[in-house]
Amino acid sequence: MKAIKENKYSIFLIIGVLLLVSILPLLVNLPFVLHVLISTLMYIGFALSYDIVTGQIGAVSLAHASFFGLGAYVTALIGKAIGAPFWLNIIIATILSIGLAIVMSLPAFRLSDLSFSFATLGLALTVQLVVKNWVKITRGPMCIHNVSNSSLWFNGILEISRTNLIAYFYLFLMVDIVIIILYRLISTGRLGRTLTAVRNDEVLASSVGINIQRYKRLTFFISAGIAGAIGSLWAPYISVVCPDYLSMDYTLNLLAIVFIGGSGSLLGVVGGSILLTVWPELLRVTPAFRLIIYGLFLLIFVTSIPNGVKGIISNVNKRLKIN
Amino acid sequence: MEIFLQYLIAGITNGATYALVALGLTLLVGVARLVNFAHGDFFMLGGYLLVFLFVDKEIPYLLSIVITLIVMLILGLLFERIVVHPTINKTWREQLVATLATSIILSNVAILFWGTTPRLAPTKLSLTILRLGPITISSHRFVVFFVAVISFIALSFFTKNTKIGKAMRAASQNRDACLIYGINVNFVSLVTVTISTMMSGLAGVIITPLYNVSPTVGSVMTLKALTSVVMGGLGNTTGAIISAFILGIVEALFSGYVSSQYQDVASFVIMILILVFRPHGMFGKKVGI
Repeated sequence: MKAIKENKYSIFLIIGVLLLVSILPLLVNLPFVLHVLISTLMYIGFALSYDIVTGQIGAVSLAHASFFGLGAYVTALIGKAIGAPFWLNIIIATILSIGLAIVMSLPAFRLSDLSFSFATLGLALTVQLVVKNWVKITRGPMCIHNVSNSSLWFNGILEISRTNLIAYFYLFLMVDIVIIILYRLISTGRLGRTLTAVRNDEVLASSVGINIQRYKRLTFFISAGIAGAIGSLWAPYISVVCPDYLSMDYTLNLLAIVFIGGSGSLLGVVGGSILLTVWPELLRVTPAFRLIIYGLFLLIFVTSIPNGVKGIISNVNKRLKIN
Repeated sequence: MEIFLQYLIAGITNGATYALVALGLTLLVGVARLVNFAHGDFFMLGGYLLVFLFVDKEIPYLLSIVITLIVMLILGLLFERIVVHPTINKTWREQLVATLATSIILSNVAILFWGTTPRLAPTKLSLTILRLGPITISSHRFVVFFVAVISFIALSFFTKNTKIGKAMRAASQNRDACLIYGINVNFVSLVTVTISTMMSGLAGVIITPLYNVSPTVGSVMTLKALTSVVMGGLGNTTGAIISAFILGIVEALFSGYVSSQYQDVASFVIMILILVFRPHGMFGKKVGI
C-alpha cells in the first residue's frame, strides 16, 4: 500500500461538490432520492472515520462496526429514557465509543499487523454477542423499534421528524464537512507525515523517535469516536436499532469502500463511498447480493488493481502529462 | 462426575472438528504463509452441501460425503487460482482483504441459496443414543472422532512419505530454497490449498448431523481454527491438533458450567490472551509442518 500523493486542493474540490449537492434537495424533493443522498452522506463520514485508522496508520481494524452500533444503541436507549437533544446524544455516544476503543486497545495494540486484525475481529464478535444476549437492556435480536426523533432541545422540543428528510440531509452534510476537515487535519502536515511513516515502516519510524503506540492509539480513538457519533445520528433517522449494526457486514462494507476507492486518500474514500452506496440503493438489491458484488469487486481490486479507483485516476493523469 | 464426563465427551468431539479445520489452516499458514479468513466458510459450505444432498435430495450419506468432497476439491482449486496465487507475494494487508472478500462472497452465496435459518442433517447414526452407565452419547460422535483421527494419520503419512508431501514440508521450512532446488512451489501451493479446503469441508460434513449449520458459522469457525493455530504455534500441525482439542474441551466445560450463550466468547478470550502473552504459541518456538 504505497502512499498516494494527495492533491492539495482536493478538500476544496470535495467541499465545493458537497455545497453543490446541498442545493439538490431544494430542486428534487423526492423521498427516495433524499434517502439515497442521506445514506451516501452517512457512508462518506463512516468510511472516512474507518480510513483514519486503516488507511492512514495502516492498522486494519475489524471492529469498526462495534463503535457505530454502540453509538446507535446508546442513542436509542437515551431516547427511551430521557429524550436528550441530538447534540448531547452525539457527545455521549462519542465518549462511550472512545471508552470502548480504550478497552479494546488494551489487548489489541500490544499486537501488530495481522494479529491486530485477529484480535479486533474477536473483540467485535464478542461485543456483538453481548448485545445479542443482553436482552434485558438491548432487547437482543428483537431490536429496538421506534427510536425517538432527533430534537434540538430536551423532551422533544424542536423535534426533527423522521419524515423531514431535508433536515436530516443537512444534518449529515454538516457532520460530513466537519469530518472531512478533521480528516484533512489528521492526514496532512506534521501529524499526517508521522502517520505515513508509521504505516510504511514501523521499525524505521520508531528509530527516528516516533512513539508508534501513541499515534496508533490516537487514530484508533479518533476514528472510534467519529463512528460512534455517526451511529448516534443514524439511529433516529432509520428508527430501528438491531444487533446487526455491530456485525462484520458493516465493517466489510467499509473495507470495500476504502480499498476499492483507494485507502489513505480523501478523494478515493469519498469517491468509493459514492460509488458503492448509490447504485445498490437505486437498484434496491438485497444485502446478500450487494455484499457478493462488493466481495467480487474487492477481490478484483486487491489482486489486480493496486491503489483502487484513485490509483487508476492518478495513472491516467500521469500518462496524460507525459504525452 | 457424570455430567463432567458428558461435557468432556462433547468437548472431545468438538475438538476433533476444530482440529480438522485448524489442521487445514495451519498447513496453509505453514506452506503458503497465508492466513485464510475464508477457511471457516469452506466448513460452512461443506455442512450446507451435506444438508442439500442428504436432506433435500435424499442421496445416501456416504455418497453425499464423496460428492461434497469432490465439490470442495474443485472449490479449493478455484480458490488457489483466483485468490491465493495472485496475492501470495503481496503484503499481509492484501492477503487479509482478499481472503475476507472470499469469505463475504461464500457466506452471502450461502444466504442466497439456503436462507439464514440454521439447518441440521440428522442421520440414523446421530439419532442412535448410546448409554454407557449414566452417560448418553450420540453414536455419531464416534464417527466424528474416528474420521478426524484417520484424517490426521493419512495427512501425516502423506507429508512424510510422498514426494509432494515432502515438498510441502520443504516449502514450509524455506520457500526460497525450494525455488533454487527446482521444486515447483506453485504446484505445492495448489495441492496445499486444495487439501486445506477439503479438510475444512470434511469437518463441516461430519459435524452437521450433530450441530446446526448457518451462513454465519463460517467466521466464528475461522476464528476458532485461528485460535488453535496460534495456540499451537503458526505452522505447527501437532500443536494445532492438541490446541484444538484443548479449545474444544475448555469451550464445552465453559458452556456447561458458566454460560452456553457466551460459549464463543471463551475461545475469543483465549485467542487474545495467547496472542498477547504467548505469541509463538504454547509449545515454544515456531516449527514447520
